[in-house]
Amino acid sequence: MNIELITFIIFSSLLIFTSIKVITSSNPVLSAINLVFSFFLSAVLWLLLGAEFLSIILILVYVGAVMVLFLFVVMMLDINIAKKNAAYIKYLPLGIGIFIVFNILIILFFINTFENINYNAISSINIISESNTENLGFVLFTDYILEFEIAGLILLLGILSAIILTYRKNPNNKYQDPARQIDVRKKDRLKVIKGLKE
Amino acid sequence: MFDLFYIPEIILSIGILLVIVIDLYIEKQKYFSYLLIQFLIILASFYALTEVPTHAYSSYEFSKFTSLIKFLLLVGALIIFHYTYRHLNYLNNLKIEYFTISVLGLIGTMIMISAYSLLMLYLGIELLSLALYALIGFNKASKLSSEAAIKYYILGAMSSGILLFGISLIYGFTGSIDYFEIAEQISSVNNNSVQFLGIIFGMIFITASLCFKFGAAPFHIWVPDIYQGSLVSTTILLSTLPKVAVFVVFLKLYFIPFITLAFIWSDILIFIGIASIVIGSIFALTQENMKRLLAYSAISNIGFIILAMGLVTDDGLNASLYYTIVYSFTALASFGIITHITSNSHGIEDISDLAGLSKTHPYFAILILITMLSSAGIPPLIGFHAKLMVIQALINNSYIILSVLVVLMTVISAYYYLRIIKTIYFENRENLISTYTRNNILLSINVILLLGLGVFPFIMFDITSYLASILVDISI
Repeated sequence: MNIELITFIIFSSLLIFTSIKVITSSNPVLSAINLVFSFFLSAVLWLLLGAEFLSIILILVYVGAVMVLFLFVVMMLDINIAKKNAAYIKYLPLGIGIFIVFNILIILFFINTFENINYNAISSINIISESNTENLGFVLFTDYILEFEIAGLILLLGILSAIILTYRKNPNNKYQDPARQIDVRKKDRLKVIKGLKE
Repeated sequence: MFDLFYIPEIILSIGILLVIVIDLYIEKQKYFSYLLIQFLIILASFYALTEVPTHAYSSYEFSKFTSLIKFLLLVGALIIFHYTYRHLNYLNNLKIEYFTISVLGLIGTMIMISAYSLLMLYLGIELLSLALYALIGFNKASKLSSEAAIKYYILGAMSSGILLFGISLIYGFTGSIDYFEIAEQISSVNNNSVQFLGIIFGMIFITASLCFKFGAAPFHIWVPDIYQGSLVSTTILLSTLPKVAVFVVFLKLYFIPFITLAFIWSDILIFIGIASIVIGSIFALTQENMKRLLAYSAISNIGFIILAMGLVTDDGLNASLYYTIVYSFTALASFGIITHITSNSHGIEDISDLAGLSKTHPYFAILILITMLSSAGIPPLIGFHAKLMVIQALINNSYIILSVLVVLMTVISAYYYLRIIKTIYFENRENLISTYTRNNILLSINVILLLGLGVFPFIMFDITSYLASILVDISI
């Protein structure tokens, strides 16, 4: 038993434990914190595979940005602690049944697969340096530039749809319209009355 | 280099960025922004038909086939936006963002059609689904709309996950995401090896996810709820553009990389097709809501398309292409009519809302009559030829029992199409039906084409056999 295998077993079993806690704990804050833990643990798994860039990105983006935002929202909203839902228990046997059948099928398939597979099939990518980040960047901006641009379009669409789904115009809002302020002429506001004497 | 700028996707994506900015400055003149978007689509459809460099980018394919399908999609989008503008204006829910999101979704469908690698395919599907999530939840006043959006969002995310799992298996066992290289790898793999098993495993996951996006039978549960919850204008979009795009994805995936696995996927597709036809026809019988009924009718129509594709023969391929074009044509007409009518000062919901339409608005009554008869497959109309071609292809490949089953289901489905006609012409109920226009030229042309192409079916036969011939060209 080498050190890598031991680390893998420890971290992946912790990962399974925290992932189960995410969906079973009734307090949303606890769920979110467990999700943060599971992101950290999967980042460790990436590191074990030698993909240091992906593991750093996972922590920076998911833990640093997404989950912190999520925790803020959960804390601000003052959500009542959800009661155990009856429907959740009702569908549990069916869910477990499907889970077992599905996993047995996958395990049966994978159990003797990876020893026999021929890895030469995977086409070689130009490796230009030791660093993962540099290699990824190189491939992303040369071979996959079109895919990269389309990912940009998807992000734009995400922004647009989030705004359109949450924005509500309040008719009572008071705001200044600079164009109309500039457009005002003297005769609109000032009225000179002649022939009036004390 | 500069001829790249005339590619329709680039015209649309640069143009839509401009529209987003311009719309901020002329917030009041919505009609102008709308015209700008329509102009962009006309320009893009014009350039879709001109010659493009074949295979300009390794994972993105340009050919006559993709150009023609893109042209059809853009024309469809033009008509849909025309209906949508008037419908939203009538409901006082008009926002230009509706059109910008739709155009981004349209770009997604075009990417799906041109995709020549699994990564590009995934990005196109994501762009399309993200647009659809927002459009389904667009009607914020309605609870059903938000419910539909959340349902579609969660199920769509799950199906994307399944798609990615399948893609990763295919990549792991063939070493490539490029369609052409995958085809080469699969043909060189030994049929009894573990590698072969893994590829089949991945292919089945991809099939399941695409069938979800298509709305075919074992994965159809979302269709009625989402059709019912969203605005009618979103429902037209949902029932035409993504279906054509997913159909082309099916064709390209199964006839280019997975063609050597045809003996496996043919049975799967035939099962999915038959299940969709049976479920779509039987469950539609008890529906009272118009949009739910049309959703089940869409499921059974998709069953016909997948069934014909599963035959893996030339006549099956022809029949499925023919059926797809006819189906989107009919859906455009039937949902288009519904956008024009309101009953008791809300949009059409139940079938009984249409009672008495023939007395007050005979023009729309006749349009619905022709469209429903065409969907039911009554001879002089084009729906008949589409159904006939599928059944003919089944008989030619000696699936006699299946063809009898399909004919039986067609008879059952004729019942609910005729029920709508009965409600319109023979039921006397007081409904306050109003329309915002006396007639609509585009709608009339659409319905007249259903009749005209049905009388002269050879025009459409020629178009689809041409499409099928150029599809075969690229797959070699």
